[in-house]
Amino acid sequence: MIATASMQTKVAPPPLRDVDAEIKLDARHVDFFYGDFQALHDASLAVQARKITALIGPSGCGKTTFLRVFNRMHDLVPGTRASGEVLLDGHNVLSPDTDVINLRRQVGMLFQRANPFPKSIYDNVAYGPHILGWSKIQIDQVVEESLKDTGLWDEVKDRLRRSALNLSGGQQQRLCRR
Amino acid sequence: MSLPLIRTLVDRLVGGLIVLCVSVAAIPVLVLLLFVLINGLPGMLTPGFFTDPPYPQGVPGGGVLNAIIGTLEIVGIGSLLAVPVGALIGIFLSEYGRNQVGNTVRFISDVFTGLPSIAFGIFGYTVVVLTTHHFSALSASIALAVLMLPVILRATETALVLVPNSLREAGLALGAPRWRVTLEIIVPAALGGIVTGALLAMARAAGETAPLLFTAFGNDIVQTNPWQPMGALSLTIFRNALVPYPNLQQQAWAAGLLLVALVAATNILARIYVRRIQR
Repeated sequence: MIATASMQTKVAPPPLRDVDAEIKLDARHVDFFYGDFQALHDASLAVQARKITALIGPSGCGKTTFLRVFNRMHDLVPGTRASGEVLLDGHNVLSPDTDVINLRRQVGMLFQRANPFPKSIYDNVAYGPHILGWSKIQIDQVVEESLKDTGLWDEVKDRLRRSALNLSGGQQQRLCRR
Repeated sequence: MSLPLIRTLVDRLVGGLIVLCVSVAAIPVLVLLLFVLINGLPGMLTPGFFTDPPYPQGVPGGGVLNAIIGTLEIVGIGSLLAVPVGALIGIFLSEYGRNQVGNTVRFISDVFTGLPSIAFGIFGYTVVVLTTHHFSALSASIALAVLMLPVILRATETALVLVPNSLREAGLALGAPRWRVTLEIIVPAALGGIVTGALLAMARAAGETAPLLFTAFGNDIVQTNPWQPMGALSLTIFRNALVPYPNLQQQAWAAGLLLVALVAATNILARIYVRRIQR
């Protein structure tokens, strides 16, 4: 699922809700604090299933912060706090009983800057499925398919075991997009 | 005077200053190495140096086989004890230690770093030698392990802290539990620094004499049993340098050269190894 959406942090946008649309993720009245500084003010957003939603705004308005709340990446930053509700298939992601690890397996995230692991090209793609406990054969298959999807396969198929850090910036970006 | 000229002058001046500082730091080390090489080489080339135990004082010939085996074994066992524990504590400090527990561990470790090395010898003596009623290589290994511990854990922590946070987030965002991200991504990324830290600690331990004086004690017989007293290269240097027999003094120089060579060799080998697995 790609969670990107249009919003303003200070004023909740009029929800553009298609009556029939299935809402995959529903953020309601989210406030977010870095220590004493409030970064999000009552932000609300409904993301439809099987649609691409784009989130636009000036630098520093809180787009990334908002997105990070969706899979609780803010837990990793000490002194941050989120309130409100983020419903993923009806379950509030922000509630303390959420299985964060499971949540992050469902809500994928691609970062602004490409950040390949300092491992081989193969291992970089394989790490996700590896965590999910897939078999070697399945992983081999998924690595090849994903690299073909991004158009990297022909460029790297002969050096899958080499470090991903040797790739160019654009290649790294595409590798991480996987 | 025109501005570019001043700039050029300042540039030259600062450049010269840097070269001067480097020389002041490097020349004594190079002179020392040269000295050890010149004085140690003849002793090293004496037949039997590597293969014979020492002969009684006054008897010509003899070698330092007892000390070579002793140093390798004492430092080896010490490293086996200190490296895993130190690396694990370092991982804890970097990944989970941003709290009072971590700060306490850090403080204690810093105090240990500043302790004179003979204090670690006293530790080995009271804890192991007195309880087992026996000087032993093992007591020396334990003393050296405690001495190595703070160096290793701080180096490990520093290496891990330098790994960018974006890597941790990338791993966690894939849904990996924290311990897996730490062991499978963060530690491999910092392996170079961790290995370097462990090597620095081993090099320091190999050269230590004071902690061995009343733990390993020294032994002129070739001994491999860690429960028995054992020789070591640093002890050979210390004892033979104070003896009025020229052949033993020469042996001390040669033992010094061998120690330097051993430390240098481990360093180079480990660097090659790290470079290979990181490719």
